[in-house]
Amino acid sequence: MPRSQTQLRGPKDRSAQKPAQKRKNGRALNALSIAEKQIPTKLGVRRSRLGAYDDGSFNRKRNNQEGDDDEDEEAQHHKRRRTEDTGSLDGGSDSEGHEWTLGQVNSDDDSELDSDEALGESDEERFEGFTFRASKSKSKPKKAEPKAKKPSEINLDEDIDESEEESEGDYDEDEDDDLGEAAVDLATAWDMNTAAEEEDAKEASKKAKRAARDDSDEDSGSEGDSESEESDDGLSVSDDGADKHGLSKLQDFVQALETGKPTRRTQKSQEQGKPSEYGLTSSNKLTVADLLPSITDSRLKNSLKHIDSAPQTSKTGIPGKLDAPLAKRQQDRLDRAAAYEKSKETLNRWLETVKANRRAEHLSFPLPDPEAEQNHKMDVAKPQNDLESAIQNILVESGLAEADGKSAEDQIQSFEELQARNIPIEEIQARRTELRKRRDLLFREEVRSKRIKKIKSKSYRRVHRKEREKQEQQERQALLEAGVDPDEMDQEKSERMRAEARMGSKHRESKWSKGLKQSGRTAWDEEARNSAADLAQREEELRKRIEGKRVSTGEDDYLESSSESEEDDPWAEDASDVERQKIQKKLKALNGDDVDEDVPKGPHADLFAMKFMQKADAARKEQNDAEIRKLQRELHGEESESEADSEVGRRKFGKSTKPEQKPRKPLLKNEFEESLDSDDEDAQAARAGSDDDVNIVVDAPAKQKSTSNKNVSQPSRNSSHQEKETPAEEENPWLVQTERTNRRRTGPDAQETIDISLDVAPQAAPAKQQNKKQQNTKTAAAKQLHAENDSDDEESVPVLLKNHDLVKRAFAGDEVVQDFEQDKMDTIEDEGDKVVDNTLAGWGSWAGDGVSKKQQKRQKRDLTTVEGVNPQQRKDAKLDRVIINQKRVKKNVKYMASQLPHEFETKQQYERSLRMPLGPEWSTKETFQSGTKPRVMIKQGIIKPMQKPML
Amino acid sequence: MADSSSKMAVTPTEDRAAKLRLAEAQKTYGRGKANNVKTARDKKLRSNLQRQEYKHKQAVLQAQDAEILLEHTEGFLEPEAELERTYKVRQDEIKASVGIETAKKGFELKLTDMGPYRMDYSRNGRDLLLAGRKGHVATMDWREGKLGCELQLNETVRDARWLHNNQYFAVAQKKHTYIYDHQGTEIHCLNKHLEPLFLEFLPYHFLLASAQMSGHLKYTDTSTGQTVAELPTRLGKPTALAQNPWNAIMHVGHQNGTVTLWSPNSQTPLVKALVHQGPVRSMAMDRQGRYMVSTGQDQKMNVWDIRMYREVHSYSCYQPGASVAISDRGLTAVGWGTQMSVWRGLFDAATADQGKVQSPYMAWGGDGQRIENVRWCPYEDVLGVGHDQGFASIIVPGAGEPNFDSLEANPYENVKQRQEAEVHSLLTKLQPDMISLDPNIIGKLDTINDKKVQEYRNPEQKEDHMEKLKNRGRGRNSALRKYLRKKGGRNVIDEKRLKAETLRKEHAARTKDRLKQERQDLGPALSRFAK
Repeated sequence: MPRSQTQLRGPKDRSAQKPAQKRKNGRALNALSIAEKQIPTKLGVRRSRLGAYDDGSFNRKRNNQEGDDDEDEEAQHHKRRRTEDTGSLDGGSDSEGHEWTLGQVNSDDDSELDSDEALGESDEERFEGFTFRASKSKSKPKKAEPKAKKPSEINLDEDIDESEEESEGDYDEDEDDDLGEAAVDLATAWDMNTAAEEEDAKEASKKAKRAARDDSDEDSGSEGDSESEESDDGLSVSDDGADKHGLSKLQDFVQALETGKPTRRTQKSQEQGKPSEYGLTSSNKLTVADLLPSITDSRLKNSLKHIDSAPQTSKTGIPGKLDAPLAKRQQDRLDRAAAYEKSKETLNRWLETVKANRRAEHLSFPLPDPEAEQNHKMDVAKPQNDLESAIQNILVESGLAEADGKSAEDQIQSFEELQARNIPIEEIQARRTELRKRRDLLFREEVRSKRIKKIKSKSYRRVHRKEREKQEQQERQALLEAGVDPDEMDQEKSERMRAEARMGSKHRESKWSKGLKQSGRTAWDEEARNSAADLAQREEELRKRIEGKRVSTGEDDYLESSSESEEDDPWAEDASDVERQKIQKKLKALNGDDVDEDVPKGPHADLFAMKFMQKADAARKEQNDAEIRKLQRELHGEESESEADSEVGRRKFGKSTKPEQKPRKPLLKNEFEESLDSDDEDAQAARAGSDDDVNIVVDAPAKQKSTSNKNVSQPSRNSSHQEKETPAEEENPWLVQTERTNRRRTGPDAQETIDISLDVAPQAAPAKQQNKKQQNTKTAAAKQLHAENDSDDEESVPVLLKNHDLVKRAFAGDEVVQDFEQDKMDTIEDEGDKVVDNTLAGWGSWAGDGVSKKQQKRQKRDLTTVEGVNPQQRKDAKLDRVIINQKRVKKNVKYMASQLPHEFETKQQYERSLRMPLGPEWSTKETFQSGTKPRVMIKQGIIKPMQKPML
Repeated sequence: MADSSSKMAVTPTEDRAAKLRLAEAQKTYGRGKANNVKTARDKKLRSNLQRQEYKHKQAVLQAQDAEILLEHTEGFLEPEAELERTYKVRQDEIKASVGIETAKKGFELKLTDMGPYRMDYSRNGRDLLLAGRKGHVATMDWREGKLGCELQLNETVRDARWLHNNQYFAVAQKKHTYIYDHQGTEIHCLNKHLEPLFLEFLPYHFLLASAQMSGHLKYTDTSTGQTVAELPTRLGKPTALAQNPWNAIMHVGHQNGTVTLWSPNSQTPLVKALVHQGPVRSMAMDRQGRYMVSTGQDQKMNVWDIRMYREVHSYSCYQPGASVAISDRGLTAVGWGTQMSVWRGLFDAATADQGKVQSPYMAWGGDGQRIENVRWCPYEDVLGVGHDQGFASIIVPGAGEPNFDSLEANPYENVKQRQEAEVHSLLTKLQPDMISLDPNIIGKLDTINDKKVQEYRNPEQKEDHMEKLKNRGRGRNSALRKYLRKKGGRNVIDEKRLKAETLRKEHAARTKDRLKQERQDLGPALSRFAK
């Protein structure tokens, strides 16, 4: 009998539990002796019957007369059948298996049954295609029978289930599972045991280890008692169960078992997949015992006797052919591959840890033990020294802490539990139902508030959006003033957003939208229509974005369009009206809900615990109602505001458009004028025209919209032009402003004087003088002067005037400025491009005296230009009183990086990395320490390698 | 998408607060724009940059948090009524209203004999160095009124400067510059500094600079004693000398109203600006190196933005300003004639693009002492004024930096600390080569183009590879043989290779010829020995 079968049978054997001795007989020799000691009485009878083949006497008997042997076996089978009749179908299958195979080889008449059983399920699968001489159709029902024994066991559970509590049932099931597994392992363990004698039990997997533990238990003798007890119980109950329940249940379980089994089988075969000494896989191991029956020579048999008595007694022959062992090279290759896989797997476990450590900014050895960290558990801190206990006392006294360290909530809970014990169970149940009801009500109210909020999102949010935007704008401004670009801070977010928008499947170019267009699904499919509308909206938004406008369709619109657009007709003229009506309808419905939602008073409504809940309930309800009222008020009273706001969403056409445009004008104008620098009207018109053209191009894809867009944009532009004419003439305050804010004050402004003396009242004379000069200069400057004249106009001081005149006179001879300009010209020339004449006189032409000028001219000039600094690109090109040296300072070069250091991709990245100083002088201690912390820190002492992967 | 935009629009308040806090911190402590981490393609680099940005942010926030340690704030004179003017407040009024210890800081020294005095405060503001034109030099711990040393040099003294601490000072005398120690012992005579007019000391570079009568600017390293640079200004006798404390650039004022900017690394001025119509009298740069205030003989006081080299404001004086000084907190003291006035908010006005400041903050003088020199005392609200009658210490509220950094300069240091600081500053001494207009160039990427780099590396040195393969065939390791041995096997045919091959052929032919000739010479019997 193949080992796999015995293993499978393991649990059944146990549960069926033909006496324990039988199994012991089937076990290894050393166990046998122990068993003999333990159960001396029965052994005497059965030794001969149960085919203790390992027994010398048995062998001798078989050697002498095979007929006897057969008889013996037959007798045994009879006995076994008898036992099967009593309920357990196959008891002590371990020993039996051996006998059956023997019988099969020796005699056909022995049993169809046996051969069938000997052919385990695994084998059946394997040899599906084969037909055995001895196999009969009978085998089917027989096979079903052995399985029936498992159901009986579980029947037991069910019986108990009905009578007892759930938990206990669970426990039983668990136990059962454990038992089953243990039994399987036991079987393997026997094999292991035998194998251990052969080859030191190398392939000891986890299960095998556990089995070995069980084995040792058995060896000590306790096994027989404990397990037999359990299984006896099982037996008895299972008998009852089998009687009680019908065949159908049985078959169900059989099926269930069949589905469950194969996994186990594969496990086993894997476990024992290693080739043994004989170059066979253990699933079909060929032992000497298998070969023995084929030996006819008695002498040879004698000589093989000692081998036969060797431990693999439980092994049986394998029906069918054996695979020839693979060639060593192939086998080795397989081994290596397997070993490689294994090692790879073990190494891969470290991969994450290694990666993490490599990426870590700092590592400190010894590395923290991952287990140690896990074991941290917050416990109630107990005072350990005097100070702590004193503090604890103070805390307790002041009511900040509880004496026993428990929190108040815990105490309340424990108190409630105590109370609950006193109350009868009906009351508790009633209370629970009441609570449930309350909870349900609360939940409903919550849902209602959500709905209200959703309605809010239509108008309320629209109304309040402006406020929010304003606030945001202010904040932005503040950030900008602070020198931080908020865009940059949110860059990541916005980028992500954009990427998502691009990714969105609902784009115009997507397959989906094309499909929509082609199939015309929008005509009948509501969903498709919705999404098409959504798409249109998105498109519009995208276009706006391309145009550089701020997209004002907020999130709410999106939400609406997705959720409620089925009723919306966005193209309708009075969309807002329709919307309002809808909202009102909804509000009404909600109010109706209110009426319905009157709280049903339960019998325990006045329970003290419920009062706060009621209160909360009422409060929430009130809030909701108030909100609804507010919404309604808004809808009725603030129509104008919502109307003004409606420009936010989709653009409306018809009469409503006109009032909208008015507020827009000034804004547009401002934008325009800042960019303009010439007053030429024609040029502007041309520019505007070109702008329009651009617009049309942009809009081209969606034609219908483009025309509408033009309609909207044209008038606004025109109006802006008209408005432009007037300010250009009368003086643009913006222009003035820019002039004024201009940094460059080298002009007359810079010449303005403010005297630093104290005795004389502030300096009016020079201002006056300059006023004359400035009158013909820019109006802007004049305007600016106004402010100063207020302070300066008072009086003129002749002394100062005289002084200035004197100064002028004093430096009259010095043409300082001219000199400086000349100097600058020289420098520019010096540093600019230079033409070098490399011509060699006499090279390719005549030189010396007597060469005519004509000839001299004819000579080819070899000119090269050495590139210098372009005068227009000089740093001082726009500074008339400054000369900046643009020569390279070579001594500084050695402190500069000649090329971008590795890792960095751009100059900015590199230079930014140098920007933050490390020294303690320039940063806080913390920054300094974190900046100079070494990457690897090693504590003193022995540093052990990592025991296990940390991640 | 819409959802995310909404989230972006409505940020939670605490988030906002954090952002604002960061923005605030960035404003004062930030160092440039953040990198866009996203643009980095390399994963490792990206994570590194991210980490670095995080560190920057943390550093900025921590720096702001550390502000809590700055416990002192400056206080200015504030007018109570509209018509009240702070410049009307006199010194005795201030002394009456401040504490005794503070009042003691305002004093006057009458030194009428030794002519106009120039003076200097040591870096920590504890010691004062006075140098009278006629040869009187004295040092003193001015707060305690303790005289350090007193010298009568009996020759013209034009300027005097403390070196890195109060142990040494340099004096520009008639012919040379001399260095004395705190006891007044002459230690060195810098005879390369001929006829010095002005002295400046760069504390981080240990450079003593002097402007000479001849128009040269000389740098001497005081830690090694070596002359670092001699720069000819070519503009005649300089009229003023001042250092920019931010980038250690020397500003030299000239007779023709120009100011030239010098570093020891360039023989030509880095910048030349026409600041005044007449000779420049005095200059001063603010601590952050943003503005220069100069006074000239043309009775002007000009404020220049020396980042953009633009004049921001121009103020008129009744008399040419003899001396200008800018305090740590941005107060500007101008001594003109017998008067001295202090201006407040000159640079703020320039930054904010407001009009000019209308009236000074404080005033002093008018008692007939012609002012020679004004200097602010570091870490004190005290202005030192040297004039022809002696020296005056004036209390100017709000002038000094209220919170000193003891790692930088410690007004209360003891001997040990002074010694430590000396060693430390010597260890962290900056090389003169590091001086440049933009002090941040250190470590920056040199963006000069490749062609120019080549030019700079080897001017006039075009390597001729062909020349290397000399036609010298003797010896085993001739260049040709070596080349053929090393590179001959390669299947790259280029000019060099072709030449090498022709050369080899020539060689072979020549040896063949030689052999033939030899054989012929030796005759048929001995020809076998030819080789």
